[in-house]
Parts: sequence; structure tokens; C-alpha cells
Amino acid sequence: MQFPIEQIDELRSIYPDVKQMEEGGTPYFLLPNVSLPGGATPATVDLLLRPVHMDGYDSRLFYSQQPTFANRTHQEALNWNAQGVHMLSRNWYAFSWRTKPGLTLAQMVAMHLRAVR
Amino acid sequence: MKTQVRIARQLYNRIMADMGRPHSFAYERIGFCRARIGNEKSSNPIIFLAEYWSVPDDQYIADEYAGARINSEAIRNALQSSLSDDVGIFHIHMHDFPGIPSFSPMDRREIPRIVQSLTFTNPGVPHGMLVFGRDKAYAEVCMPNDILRPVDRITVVGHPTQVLSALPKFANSDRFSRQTFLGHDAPERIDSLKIGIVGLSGGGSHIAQQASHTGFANFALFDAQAIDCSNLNRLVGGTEDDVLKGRLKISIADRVITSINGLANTEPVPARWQDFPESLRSCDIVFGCLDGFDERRQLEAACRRYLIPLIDVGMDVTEMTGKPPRMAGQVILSLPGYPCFHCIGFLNERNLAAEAARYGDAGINPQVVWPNGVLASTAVGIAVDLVTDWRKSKPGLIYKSYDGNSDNLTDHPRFEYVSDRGCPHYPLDALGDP
Repeated sequence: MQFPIEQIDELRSIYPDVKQMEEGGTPYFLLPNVSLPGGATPATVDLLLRPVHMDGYDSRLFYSQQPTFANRTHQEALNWNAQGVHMLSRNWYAFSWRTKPGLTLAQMVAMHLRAVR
Repeated sequence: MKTQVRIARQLYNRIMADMGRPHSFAYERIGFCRARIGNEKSSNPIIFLAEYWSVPDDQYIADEYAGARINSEAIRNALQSSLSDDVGIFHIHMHDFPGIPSFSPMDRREIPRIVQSLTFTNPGVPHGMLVFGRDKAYAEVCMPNDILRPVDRITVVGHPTQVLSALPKFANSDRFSRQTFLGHDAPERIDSLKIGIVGLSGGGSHIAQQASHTGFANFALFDAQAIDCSNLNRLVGGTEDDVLKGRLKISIADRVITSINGLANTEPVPARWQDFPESLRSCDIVFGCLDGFDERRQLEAACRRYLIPLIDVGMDVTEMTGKPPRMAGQVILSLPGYPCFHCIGFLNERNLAAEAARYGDAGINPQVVWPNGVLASTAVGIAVDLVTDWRKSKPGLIYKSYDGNSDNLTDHPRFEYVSDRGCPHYPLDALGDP
């Protein structure tokens, strides 16, 4: 699947090491060593953006480890419903979070990360 | 460290056809394959050969002392290919004799120099040299930061799947005297491969038992669960004592396998395969006995990436208002290079999204022993044919649909429309670690 070069450039301007990948016909963007907001432990993880509609989600952001967030109360706990999903030869974790359709790649990442601020 | 080389049957057939083409003066053909590495971080790396190219006729040098000699342009092309695409390169040629081939004294003088040049050019990837015989092969590889060493195992993956490198001496016995129709070397072929079984409950326990009876002797068994009382209606080998002791399903399968064949090698993994992916990647054939669609997607993606045939079995019973319950199931052979679960519509957005909406819970489905037995027996039969090719059937997708209400196992209606297509989702050059 092709994405507009401007969108990829925009994503690269924020995450310079971004790498476009594909598995099973599904596109992914690997964002290595991203610093997480919200007092996260670990503070840095790899992120994997799946920018297409799949499994009922318009896009998903997977984490290489499931972080904990110091600034979130128990009531605000995220629903980590993807646990150790094996993609691109690694296990990934994601919480249930829905984004609107029609976002650029960088906007998708921003909207997913907004959930953990 | 034990290294192995895997090559898809389609590519192997193409190389063998190319090697057989006569040249106007050279006695042998030479080609190059791109090599990608998988399982790199483990002690058992796998090298996948892909994208073969033949050295053009005009890049051979006449030399009556050599079977074939190529010029510097052919070698430069190989170096450039490695550098441009950051891939390893294997020098390929053939000695057209039966049995395990070896490099000639001239090969030993000339080809390692090419491998050395490739290593100097691109030291971060594996380079090597491989010689095919008529039915076997031998290879040496220079892994990153290492010297040229023999490859421990060379496998051609497809229909049939077989080991091309030297095998340990196989002691045949009367054990297989009633299945000689599979071929004179069938016991050795079956014994040489490692099978993985993911899920050791209703379907997987049958498969473990039958595969062991058939002669498979190397197993990786994946299941994190212990048997419980509700498994006793279908888990082959499971006993009340196992339930009382809370034994793991893999331990029961291990016991069944080794009680049939005391020499079997089993690798019981009391966890999800995703947590021990190196063990899965080391398998030559994998049986998927899973409940969920997303689990199947993950397993197929891993098998395709590491060039492993996957045989999926599954069944379900659906309650019908005013009618008898409907029992249905499937057996699917997902063979690299041929239609995948997505291609045949077995995995689609509808069933994946519905499962995701239940947070991945496949639910507690009705399960009984006899359809599991039918489907597992069919799966073992497919595996035996995949190894021995005794049926001489057309290679590719197998998609069987089971109707438990009428005891029928037939080709799925979609089979005839997709069986001859390739697979756009998992191209054969997208192999190895990403």
C-alpha cells in the first residue's frame, strides 16, 4: 500500500528512524526508541503504527512493551486488549483506542499517544 | 551454532531447470541467489535463499580445465547486488550426480575467493557457496564476523519438503513395513523433519499420536495449559490421573509420543509459541490447532516468513433454531508461495473484527473427539504426502471443508476459484527477520 510521500516525510520529521514495513499485505511503520509521555515505565519503547482499518480499528499503535503510567489513576486504566501479538517477528502490545478516519500518519500517532498523556 | 539453509521448492525447481541448460562451451552452469537471514539472534540461524539469477552466457570464460568459469563482470554484478539491497549472496552451481555432492579442488580454490570478496563488500550479511547434486546438496556459509563453515542442514520447502543435506544414518526396521507404498526412503524422509504442533488439545493430541505412529520423530510442542476435566472427552492420551495431577497438555503429548517411539526428540514448550518463536522457526512443518482467527493470522504470518508449511485444523458446532446443531470444520494446507488464509477468505475483516470486538476471546466452543479425529487424521495424511509425495498430487493449496452432520470431507467451494493463484500477501522474497 502506498502512502503520500508528504505524510511519510512528516512522520520522519518527528521520528527520524521510522521504517516502513509490510507483513501479510498489511503496512506498518516502525518507530524505534520513542520517549513516552506521562511518566511511563519504561520511558522509551519501540512503537509500531498500523495505519489501515483492521480488526474494527481505523488504525492501531502497538508498543514493544506494555508500559505503566504514573500519572494515571486506576479508573483511567487503559484497556490493553492486544497482549503479545506476534507481528514482524516480535511481540507487541496495544490498548483499545479508536481514532477517526482520514488522519495523516503523524496525526494517527499523535492521537494514539494523546491517550497516555 | 548450527546453521541451516531453506529454499522454496518453486525456486529450487527453477534453479535445477537452469542448471540443466547447455552452454556453448562450459560444462556447468553458475548462478547466484540472494540470501536473507532469519532467527539471527538464536544459536540456530536460518538462511533463506531467494531471487536466483543465472550468469549470462557471455559472462563465461572458456577454460578447458574448469567445468565453468565466470568473468569479473559476473562477480561484480553479485557484489553490487549485495551492496545495493543489503542482502547476502550465495554462489550456486551443480554437479549432476546422485548423492551428496562436494566442491572439487578447483571449486575450493576459486569460489571461496568470491565469497571473500562478497564478505569484504558487505560484511554484515551471510554469504556462501552451494553445490547441488541431482537429489542432494552441500553448502558452506560465512556468517557475519565468522569464517566459511559447512551448513548443517539444507531443506527444500514445498511439495515435497525434504532435507537435501547429509542425514544421520537411519536404522530402518519392521516398524514401517506396512507403509512401504510411501516410497523406499519415506521412513528416512519423515524421520528427518521436525514438526511443530501448536495447541495440544482436541486436534493437536490426535496429531501428536498419529504423527509419532507414522514415523515423525522430532517435535516441538506448544501449549501453556494443563488438562482439565472438560478435556477428557477428546484429548487423546489424557487420563483422570492427569486431571488430578494438573499435568500440562504438552507433557501428555510428550508421553504419548515417546511411548510410541522411545527415540523421539521432543521439545515441550509450556507457553505460547509467540514467547518462544525460535523454537517454532526451527520446525519444518507446523500444525496449527488453534481456536481464534487472530491467533491463526499470527501463526501463518510467522510460518510464511520463515518458509514453513502450515496445516490448520479446526471445528465448531453452531446451535440452530428449530434444527439440529451444525457441526463444521476445516483442514487447510498453507504452503509458501500459494494462496494463504487471506487469499481464500478464511481470514477476513469480518471475522477478525468480530473476534476483536470480543477482545480476542474465541469463546468456549463445543468440541468432541470424532471430528477432531477426522480432521487431525486428514492433516497427518497431508503432512505425509507433503514429505513423501506418494500421491503425486498437484502441489499447492489444500482447503478441505468438513460437514459433521453428513460425515463429508470435501474441497471447500472456494478452493477451485483460488487454488491456482499465487499469494500477493506473502511474496516468496519476503523471508527471514524483518
